[in-house]
Amino acid sequence: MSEKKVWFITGTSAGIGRELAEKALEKGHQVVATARKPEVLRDLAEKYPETVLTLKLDVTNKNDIAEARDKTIENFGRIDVVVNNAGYGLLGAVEEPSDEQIRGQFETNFFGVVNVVRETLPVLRAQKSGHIINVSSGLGFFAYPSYGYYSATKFAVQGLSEALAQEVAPLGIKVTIAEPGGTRTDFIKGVVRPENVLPEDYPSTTELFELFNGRKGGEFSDPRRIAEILVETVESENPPLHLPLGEDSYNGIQNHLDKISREIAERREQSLATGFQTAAA
Amino acid sequence: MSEKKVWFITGASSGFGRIFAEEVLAKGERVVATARKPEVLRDLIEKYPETARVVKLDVTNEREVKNAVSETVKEFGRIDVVVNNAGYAVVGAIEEVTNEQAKQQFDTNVFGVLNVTREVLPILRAQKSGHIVNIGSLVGISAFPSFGLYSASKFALEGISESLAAEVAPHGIKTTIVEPGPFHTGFSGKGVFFGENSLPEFYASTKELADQFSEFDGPNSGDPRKGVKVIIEAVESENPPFRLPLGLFAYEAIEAKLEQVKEEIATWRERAIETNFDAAATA
Repeated sequence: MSEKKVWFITGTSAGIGRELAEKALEKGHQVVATARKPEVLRDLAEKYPETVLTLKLDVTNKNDIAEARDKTIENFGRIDVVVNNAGYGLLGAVEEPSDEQIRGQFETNFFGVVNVVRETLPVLRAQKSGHIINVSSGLGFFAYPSYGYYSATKFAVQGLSEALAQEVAPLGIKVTIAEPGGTRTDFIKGVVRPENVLPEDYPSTTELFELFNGRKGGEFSDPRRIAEILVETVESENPPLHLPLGEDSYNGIQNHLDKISREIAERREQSLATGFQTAAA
Repeated sequence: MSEKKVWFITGASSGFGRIFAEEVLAKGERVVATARKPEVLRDLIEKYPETARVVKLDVTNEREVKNAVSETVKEFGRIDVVVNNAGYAVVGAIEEVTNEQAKQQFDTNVFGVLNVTREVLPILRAQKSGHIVNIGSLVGISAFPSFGLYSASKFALEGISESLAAEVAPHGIKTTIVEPGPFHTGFSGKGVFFGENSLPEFYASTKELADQFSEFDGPNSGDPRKGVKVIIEAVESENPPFRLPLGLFAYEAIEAKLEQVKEEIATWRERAIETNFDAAATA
């Protein structure tokens, strides 16, 4: 595709965000790569002096977001693609993390997305075009024990994105939820451990921690492939709302949806016994 | 069951919570009914002086949560069923809801549930029994436009409930998430607030949803008393369900959503799963 787009990406210091910035730049797009520590993006700025803008942005800070948005418009005149990618994982059973850890998890993974969406929507609306990509997870569809808070934030992103997609479609704006599974990045190194561990009561926390640090590297997706697919998705005619990435994520989501279908069908009669004029029917 | 259970119910001043308290008390079981304004529950104590207790509880206030839970244990010695029912809805497109409104939506609907759950879990674990019933919503599975923050809060509740269920099952604790559709509870009158940054020229969906609410709360929606009876039955059953859609509207909307996602992701399957390193080389 010849048309050059302006990408605004959060969390580009590493992982999928970083790969996506590189891939979009390689393909000749203009990219605003943001991170809490923009120093780590210096090599990108050197390699693509014309087409990249590297900016400091903490998604929990509304001023950072507004400033980055304004600089994007100053430099590139528009925003075509907003990628909400910044996020991290919090390990622990429901009882284990501290209140602050739980709040922090939602502040970045969920309210960070809300903040960026709210600050950039007026621009997209005025253009009557744009594409918002929210990087969620297969774990936005199903949740593991001892990883519930992370899942809850990603579930919340799914709900928000589904509503958003319907709200902004009439305004010419598209929404895609990217749902990667296990990906070979440093994401797992950044996973936060809970403050109040109860190892005897919740062995699942230890198990998951060991799994994360385990030797299962071969099963992970290549973040470069994920970045390529995301660029292709943006360039495609009819981008999907839900986009599982990786066979593990795809299968996990499909199995989970099937499981819910069976689960609710088993209790169908019970579920329906609530109308004002049922029983007789 | 001969033993009288102890129920701890949040948001008992009206709607599902109130009916829950009434139904369970009518069965002779013991109830701690909590609300931000406990005065409105006084008639319950008068009618059931032995088995009803009323405690002031704003679920966003951790001190009040601690107090309500310890009062329950002091009065009745245990907690068998926790009903996380307190909640409300903010209506508006994502741009129309203020930051404060978005935060408050999560403070009550998500963090409120977590506050109560985290406080009761040590007690349920010590008992090696208990049942946590979270009142979710059909929009916790299928989000509506101009209902995004409320939907997101209920999606979050689905996620945390799934993890919770797996974490506490080994401790003899059960978890159920109820997913009601529209019920004739007065929710759309008292439980709904509108986004403060109204942008009607861009988001027609907000008015459409508001209009729908008047239908939702009419006699064509579910009977909340029947709904509560279904939940109680589920709690008392041998193998309580984890997920319980409530009402035809909710059931059909959830079913449709599951099918729709399955179809959508299938269309993109080929592209989506080719993420392995050296996909071509190893093929």
